[in-house]
Amino acid sequence: MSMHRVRDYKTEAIPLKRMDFSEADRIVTVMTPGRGKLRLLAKGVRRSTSRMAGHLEVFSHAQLRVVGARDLDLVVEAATIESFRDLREDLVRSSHAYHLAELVDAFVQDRDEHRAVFHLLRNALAALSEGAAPPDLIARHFEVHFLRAVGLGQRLVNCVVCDDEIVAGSNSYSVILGGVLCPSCGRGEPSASPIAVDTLKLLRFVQRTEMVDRLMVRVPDETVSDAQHLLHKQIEAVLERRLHAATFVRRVEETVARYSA
Amino acid sequence: MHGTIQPVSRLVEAFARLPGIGPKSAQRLTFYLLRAPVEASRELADALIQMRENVIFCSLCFNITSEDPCDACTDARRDRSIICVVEEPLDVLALERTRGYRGLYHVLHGALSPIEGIGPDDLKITPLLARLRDGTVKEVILATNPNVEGDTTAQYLTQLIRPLGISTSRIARGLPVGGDLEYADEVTLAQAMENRRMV
Ligand SMILES: [Zn+2]
Ligand SMILES: [Zn+2]
Repeated sequence: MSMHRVRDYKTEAIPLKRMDFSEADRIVTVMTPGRGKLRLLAKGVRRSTSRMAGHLEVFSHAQLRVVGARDLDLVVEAATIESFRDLREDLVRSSHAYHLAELVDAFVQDRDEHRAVFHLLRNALAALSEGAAPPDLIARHFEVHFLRAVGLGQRLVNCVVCDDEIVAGSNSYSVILGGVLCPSCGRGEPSASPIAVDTLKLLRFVQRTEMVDRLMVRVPDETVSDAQHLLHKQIEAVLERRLHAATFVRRVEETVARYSA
Repeated sequence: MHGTIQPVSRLVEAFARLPGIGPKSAQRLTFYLLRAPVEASRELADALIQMRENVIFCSLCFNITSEDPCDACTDARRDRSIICVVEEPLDVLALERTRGYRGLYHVLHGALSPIEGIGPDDLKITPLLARLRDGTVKEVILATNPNVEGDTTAQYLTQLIRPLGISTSRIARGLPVGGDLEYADEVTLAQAMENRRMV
């Protein structure tokens, strides 16, 4: 008997990105609940007659059957659980979906289990598809909870330096320390910059709101974009690179705004 | 590669850099050429050089051509009021084989891929918009690939083209010839139903 037993497993998966490989194959990077991020080989999926191709589209939630192999595990069956079609057919919503997928791809290592991240991603895609909240608020909710899930949760209630409770006033935020600073600690910290009361309120509200479909609040656009700016600076500081899809999100928002005006 | 002389390993490495060719195939190709008559290698080397020196991109449609503008762009029998937008030059070849389309083309040289950082400025989008400004073109057919990135590209282009008063259409999607209904994903199936035709 062979020493290398062929592993055959079933898993739920959300494809994050794909890369063409060889004649008609693709390498699909997926997020799974129990096996973390996986890079899988899908054979023949670039042919229009492929039975699997439509079930391996990015941002769809699928059930896969996979056979273990020496290099890349092989997808042998794929069936859609949720297609999130309304998301795919809307430019603004899908631009945000690329951003969520980029974050998961950038932070989660191969085969590193992150059940919470999978469910956050699935719920955010579902919320974008259903229009459960404004797309930018869904993205901020994802970022706040995602940072916590990967061990980089923001400290928003107590000062990140002295641990004193933060009271309304001239507080600041450090993207390097990942939290709010009280006025006296903020003065001595070079990475700290002022945070508006409404921005802090929004971040706290988003952080204590577990379910993304409970985000139905009226928040001024400036406050959401202020929170976005801060979150992206923090994420970019950790990644040590620029976020790609976020640039596209901005481009789409500008284009849509210009032509709907 | 250990145990091989430098010119051989150099060619193996050059082959292995090509898409779809692994190290094993690269070795096979190299040793095939080593045993074949020297003319085979000369012919291949000449074809490679000629291809790179004589093939250019059309300054209008960005398809590959030996003359600029390309045959399609200068063909008086083609319908100049329609432009079909595709991702790659190979897509033009595929559409030309159908003999069903007589309009012009525009090759984007890729699709938007926001995760990889491939944005609008990395594709031939600005020259496409320039072609649409003189009023000749009445319809743009968006024939990007039927996947999420292709859809994103088509949706983004629609946002830019619609305000110019030019109609945009997306090539129909549906069930592939030779496929079974039961294996179709729900998006393809739903679109096939929406795009049904009276018979
Ligand atoms: Zn403090
Ligand atoms: Zn041309």
